[in-house]
Amino acid sequence: MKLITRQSLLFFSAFIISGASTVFAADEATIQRGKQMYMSLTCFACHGQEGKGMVRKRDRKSKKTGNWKYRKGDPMPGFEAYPKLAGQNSKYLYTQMMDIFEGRRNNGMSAAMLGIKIMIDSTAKEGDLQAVADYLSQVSK
Amino acid sequence: MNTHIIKKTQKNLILVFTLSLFIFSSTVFSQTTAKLTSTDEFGGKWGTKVKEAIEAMKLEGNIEDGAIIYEEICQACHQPGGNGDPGGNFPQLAGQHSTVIIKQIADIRIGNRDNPTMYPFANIEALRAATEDIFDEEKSGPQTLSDVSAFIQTLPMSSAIVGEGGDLEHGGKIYKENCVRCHGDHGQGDVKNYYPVIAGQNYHYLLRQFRWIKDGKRRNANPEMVKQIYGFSERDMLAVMDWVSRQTMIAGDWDSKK
Repeated sequence: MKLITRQSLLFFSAFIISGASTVFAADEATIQRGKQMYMSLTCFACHGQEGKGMVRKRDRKSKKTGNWKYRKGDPMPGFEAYPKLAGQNSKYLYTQMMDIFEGRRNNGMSAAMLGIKIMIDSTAKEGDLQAVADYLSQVSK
Repeated sequence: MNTHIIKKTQKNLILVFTLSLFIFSSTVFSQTTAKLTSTDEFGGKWGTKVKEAIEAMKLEGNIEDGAIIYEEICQACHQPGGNGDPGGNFPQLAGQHSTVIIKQIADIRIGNRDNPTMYPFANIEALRAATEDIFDEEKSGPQTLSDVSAFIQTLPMSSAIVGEGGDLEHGGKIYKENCVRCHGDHGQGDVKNYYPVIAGQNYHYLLRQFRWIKDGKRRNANPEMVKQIYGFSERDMLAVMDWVSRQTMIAGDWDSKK
């Protein structure tokens, strides 16, 4: 009985701490910062809105045959080789970004991403790329 | 005996068939090669060889549709006003001659200019595909390209990102001696010959491209320019780019010169 009380007390205090507004505000601020940087560093141009990939925005039927030409959410031609990032682990996203920008990774479409290094160097501040990774990791797939 | 004749005929038939196949395929091949290497179709040797681009240059661009396409595809990197980013990662497109936009896109697509970041957007079919979600009526790839380049030319350019300004007299002098014949007396370029507007371009971008042209890294540079700038010193280069970045376009600069 005593043990249970102690456990529930621990649980209760942990709940209070994790639920404290300051803890949430810090995370939320990072995510908002990441979201903003995801747009301003032009990531969305190739990885799509919210890192969900470049996809069709509507359905289209062929005027000749009447069959579906494509459906909403289908991959956009030309961007099939660019990864979807939404829901990926933050740590993985961050290390891949650093590996590409620091030249350790040069396969796949990384040359395309290396093309924005001048922008990263001239505008991104300490912690911005980590914030982008944090933001993308919490977007639902 | 009978079977022998049949076998012989079969052999001959096979030989004739193979030969005709070879001749047929070689004509097809040479036709394709001729098409790809033809340099006289549009603009002589300095022109483009990409079929869709040649077609796009002949079409009249719809500026209103071009604005929608620009918003959907280009402004993510080149920014809503078309002035690029201050660091010069993405160049200013605003005010650029539509012919230059089309030619550069074609060059990137065909692998004549290395730009991996721009590459998927330079695929004219992908460009069409990316915008077909917006319009109810289907547009061709060349029409998409024609529309967006026509719109880009109308955007007001800015001369906001310039050099340090300490050596402008020298820059102006070097410019007059070396650059006027193609880029015009104030960097206005030439719509007909695909000479780009360099007036008001982002200083950092100008510097980078100039270095790449000098070093042969920008492969679609006009060989005459590579020769012309061969002897430029670091001081000459910085001064000219600074001078050019401060120039502005004036009315009439977009007209085709006769």
